[in-house]
Amino acid sequence: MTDEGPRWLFRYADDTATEVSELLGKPPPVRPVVPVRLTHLGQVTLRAIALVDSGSERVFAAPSMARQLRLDLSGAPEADIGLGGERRRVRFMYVGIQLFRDLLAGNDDPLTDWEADVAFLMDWEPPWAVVLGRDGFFDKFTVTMHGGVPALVLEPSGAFDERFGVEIAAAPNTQPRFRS
Amino acid sequence: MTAQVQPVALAHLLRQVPGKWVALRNGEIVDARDTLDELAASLEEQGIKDATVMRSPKDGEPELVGLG
Repeated sequence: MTDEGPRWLFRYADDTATEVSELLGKPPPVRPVVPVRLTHLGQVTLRAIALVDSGSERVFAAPSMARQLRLDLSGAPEADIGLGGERRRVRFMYVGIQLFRDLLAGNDDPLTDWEADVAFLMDWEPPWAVVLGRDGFFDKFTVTMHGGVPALVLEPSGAFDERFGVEIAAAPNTQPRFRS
Repeated sequence: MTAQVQPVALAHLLRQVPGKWVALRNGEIVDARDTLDELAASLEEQGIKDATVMRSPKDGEPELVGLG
């Protein structure tokens, strides 16, 4: 990433759950979201408003998204993940993710796309169709968030090092930071 | 230079269909169903491919953290 590289700002979306905000005398909550679509072997899902969740290690998708892609998950790697206070069964598939500009436009071309291991929930319908976590989203971009600004900015991965003027080495126990 | 950023206003749309999976296009609700599967099937029947979907929280649903 250089100064000439892409830099995309995504406004947060407001949330209907206002009880806590009203209790504290604060504005309604806002959510960091981006529009994405999953792809696999020529199949595509509906465009979904995805939650950007820096606390999530994985990218998650609802069971319906797997059905929309006509995925056969019968032989896919599976695991239990703790979500919502419960153990949830997921199966992983390496699929495409397309990122779009506008939450509500619906007919624009993708800004970019990449592939990632997505954890498809098997028997629980989550409140978000897609959640974007560290492995598969945050390791693809430099993601800048500021609690006082209801927006996030995505830049290519290398922008992180350019911003701080030093290449911060990956820890030996993590995935490679820069993948082709 | 200051550029003020406002959140995307979705809550007023979502409150119209609490608890439903919603298809949005050009700032309007084009369909809403009880499940994402039902919504996907309905949109396919109607030939709608340019909507964006999300779930509308139920009335009284608490503020969620991540996937809740």
